Amino acid sequence: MQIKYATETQPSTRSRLALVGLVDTIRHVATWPSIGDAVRMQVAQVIESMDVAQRASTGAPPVATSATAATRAQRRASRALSVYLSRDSSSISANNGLLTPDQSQDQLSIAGRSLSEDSYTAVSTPDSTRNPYISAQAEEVFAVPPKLTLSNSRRVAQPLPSAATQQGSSSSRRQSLHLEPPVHADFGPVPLPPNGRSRQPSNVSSLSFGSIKSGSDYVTADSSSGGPGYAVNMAEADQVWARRRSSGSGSFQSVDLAGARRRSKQQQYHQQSAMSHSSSMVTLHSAAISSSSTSVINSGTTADQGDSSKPFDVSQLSLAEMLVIVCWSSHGWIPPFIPAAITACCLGELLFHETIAIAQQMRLDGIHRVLISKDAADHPAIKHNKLLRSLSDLIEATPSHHSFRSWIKRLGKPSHVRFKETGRRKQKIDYSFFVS
Amino acid sequence: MDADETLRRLESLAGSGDSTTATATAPSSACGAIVALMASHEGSAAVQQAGCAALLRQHISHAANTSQHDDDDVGQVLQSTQAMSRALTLHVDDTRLHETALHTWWGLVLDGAVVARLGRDATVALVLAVARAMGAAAANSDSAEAQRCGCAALWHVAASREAAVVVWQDAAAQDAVIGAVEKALAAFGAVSSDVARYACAFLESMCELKHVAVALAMARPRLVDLVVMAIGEHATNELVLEHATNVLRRFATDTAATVSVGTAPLIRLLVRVMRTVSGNASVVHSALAIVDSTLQQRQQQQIDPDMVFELLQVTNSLILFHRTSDEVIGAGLAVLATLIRNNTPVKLFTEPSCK
Repeated sequence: MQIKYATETQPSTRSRLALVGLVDTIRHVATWPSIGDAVRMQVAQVIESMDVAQRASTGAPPVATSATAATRAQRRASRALSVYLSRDSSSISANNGLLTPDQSQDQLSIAGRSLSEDSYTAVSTPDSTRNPYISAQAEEVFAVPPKLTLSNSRRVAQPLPSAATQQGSSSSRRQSLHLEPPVHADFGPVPLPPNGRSRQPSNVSSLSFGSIKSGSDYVTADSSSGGPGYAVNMAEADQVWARRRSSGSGSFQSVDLAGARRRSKQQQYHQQSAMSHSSSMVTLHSAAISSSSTSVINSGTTADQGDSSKPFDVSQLSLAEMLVIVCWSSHGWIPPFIPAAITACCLGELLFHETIAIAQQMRLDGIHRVLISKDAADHPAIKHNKLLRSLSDLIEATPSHHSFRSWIKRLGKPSHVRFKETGRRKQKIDYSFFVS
Repeated sequence: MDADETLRRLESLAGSGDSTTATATAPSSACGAIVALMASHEGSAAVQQAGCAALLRQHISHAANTSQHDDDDVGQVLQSTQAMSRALTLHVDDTRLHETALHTWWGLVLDGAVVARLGRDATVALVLAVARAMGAAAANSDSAEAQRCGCAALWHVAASREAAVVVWQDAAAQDAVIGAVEKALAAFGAVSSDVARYACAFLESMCELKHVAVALAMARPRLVDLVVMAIGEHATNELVLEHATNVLRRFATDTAATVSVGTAPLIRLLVRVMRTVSGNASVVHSALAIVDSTLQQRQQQQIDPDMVFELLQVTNSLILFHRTSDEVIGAGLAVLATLIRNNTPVKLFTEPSCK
C-alpha cells in the first residue's frame, strides 16, 4: 500500500494548502471575541489584500474600495470557500476549496485542502465522449458549505469545452482540467431553503443514492425516475446543497451526508471502494465507515498491490489519518489502534502545533465531530486532556456520542470548547434525498 | 595579623557573613573592615579571593536584613569595587580571582534599587571595572564562568534605566561594556547558554533606550550576527530565546540592520525556533516580527515554496495556539500581509496545480 502524505507533495502545492489553511484561520480570527479592535481591523485588511491578490491572479477586476470594503471583503472571503472540481471516471463533483483558473495557461488551477492529493486534483474521464456530460455537471453541480447560498441567476462555472479535457488512463487519473472561459467561484445572494427536510416541497420525490464514488469524498445520487445525477461533497459535515443539473429553475436538493454515511445500504459500496481505491485517505474513510470488522480494515490494502489480505501497517499511518478514522466513525466504533496514535501526539512524536495543524485541517475538511470511545478516553495517554485541547481549540466539538460527552464532563470542559446542538439532532432524521 | 590568619578571618566572614566580627556594624564600615584586611596582604591572591567572597557574603547578608537603601549602600559598592579592581590589577593572571570578583560584582548589583542610587561616577567606575575584568579573564582563561558573571552583572546594571543611560552616555563606558559583551558572546555564546542569555539580556536592556538599537546595529554589526548565532545555538532554550529574539527584533524592526545570514537560513531558523518553543508568546511574537521585517527588507529575494509552506503552516498554528495574544496574532497577520505584498500568494495561486 502506498500512502501519500501531504509532506510528500510538491512544495508549491503544500504551500498553497498551507496558505488556504492560514487564510481560513484568519477568517476565524475575526470571529474571536477576545481579539482587540486593532487586530480585527488587521484581519479585515489582510482578507481584503488576499482577495485582491487572488483576483489579480485570476484576472478578475479589482474590488472597488469603499467604507464597507473590509466587511465585504470578509464576506467575499467566506464565500470564496467556493468549489473545486474533482472528477473520476464518470462524474464531477464540487468540493470545498478554491477554484482558480489561470488565464495565462488556460488551465484550471485547483487549490484544495486535503491530506490526500486525490482530493485536490482533478481527474479526467477515460472516455472523452463523456465530456459534455461532465461539462454540464461542472457547470451546475456545486457543493457549498452550510449556510452559504447559491445563485441561480449569476453563474458560477462555465461549461467545459468538449475537447478540453486531457485524457488519462485509469492508472494515472489525475490531470488538470482546461476551462475556457475561467471559472469563478462567486456565489450570488439567492438564499436556499434553510433546511430541506423541515420544509419539504409538496412534489418531493425520493431519490436513492446511486453510489459513493471512489476517488473522492462525494456521493452521487440518481433519481429513481431516471432523472439527472447529482454529486455532493461527502466531506461537508452536516448538509450540502446541490443544484439540480439542467433544471434551470433554481430548484435545489439537500442531502444529509451524515445520514448518508449511516445508511447501511452504502456500507457495501464502501467496502468495495475501499478495496479498489488507491487513495489511502478515501480508503481509510470508507473502511472506517463501513464496519468494525477486521475484514474491512484489511480492505485497506489496495488493489494495485494485489494483496487484499495484508492489513494496514498502522505504524505507517499519520495521526491525521487515524484521527480521520475516529471522526468518521459514526457508529462509535473506534479502531483499536487509535489510542496508540493519540499517544504519539501526547508523547511529543508529533509536535503540539502539528497536531493543531492536523486538527485545523480536519475542520477545513468539514469534520466537525470527534467521537472518542470510552476505551480510548480512558487511555492514560489522553487522560490529561492534551488531545481534547488541541482538537477542541479548532474543531467545534459536537457531542454526538455519549462517551465523548461524559469524557468531557469528567475531564472538565475547557472554557473554549463549544458544543453546538443542531436542530438536526433533535429531530427524527430522514436520510432520504429529496427533489422538489 | 599574618596572611594565613587574615585568610582564615576572611574565609570565616565569607562563610558566615557576620560582618560584626570585623568590628563594625554599618554596611560600609563592615565592608571597610574587609577591604582593610584585603589591603593588608595585597600580594596574596588567596587573601584577595577570600576578601572578594567575604564582600559578596557581607553584601548579601546586609541586603537580606534591610529594605531601605541609603548612601551607605552606595559606599559599600564603591568600596568593594575599588578593592576588587586593585586586587585584579595586582593579580591579573589569576583566573579564579577574576571569577570570584565578577561573581561579587554580580551580587553587588543584583538589587536594582542600589544600582539606581549609584550615580554617574560610581556606575561608570563599576561597569569599567567589570568590563576590564571580563577582558582580563577572557585573555587568560577559556572558562566561561567569568564571562557569565560579568554579563550578568552588566545586565543588572543595564536593567536600571538610569544606569543604562549613564553607561550609554559615557563613551568610554559604552565602548568598554559593549565590547566586553560582544567578545563574551563571540567567544562563549555558543558553548554557554548562560553567557548567551545574559549577554542578550544586557543588549535587550540597552536596546530599550531610544536609538540604541540603531546605533549598535550600525557601529557593531557583528553583534547582530552574534545574536542570530545565539538563537541558532540555543534554539531550544527559552531563557536564551526570550532575550535573543527580543534583541534581534529590535535590530530588525527598529533598524535596517543587515544580518549576514541569508534570508532562507534565517527564516528557517526562526521557524525552527517557533516550532520548538511554540508556547512562548514572547519568543513567538519576536520571531514572527523578525520574519516579517526580514521579508520586508528582502522582498526582492525569492523565497522557495518549501519555506513558504513552513512559514504559513507555523504561522497558522501559532495564531490558533495563541488566540488570546493580540501581539502574536498581529505579528502573524503582518507576516501574511507582507507575503501578500511580496506577491507570494499570487504566485501560489497561479502556479500550475500539482500533478
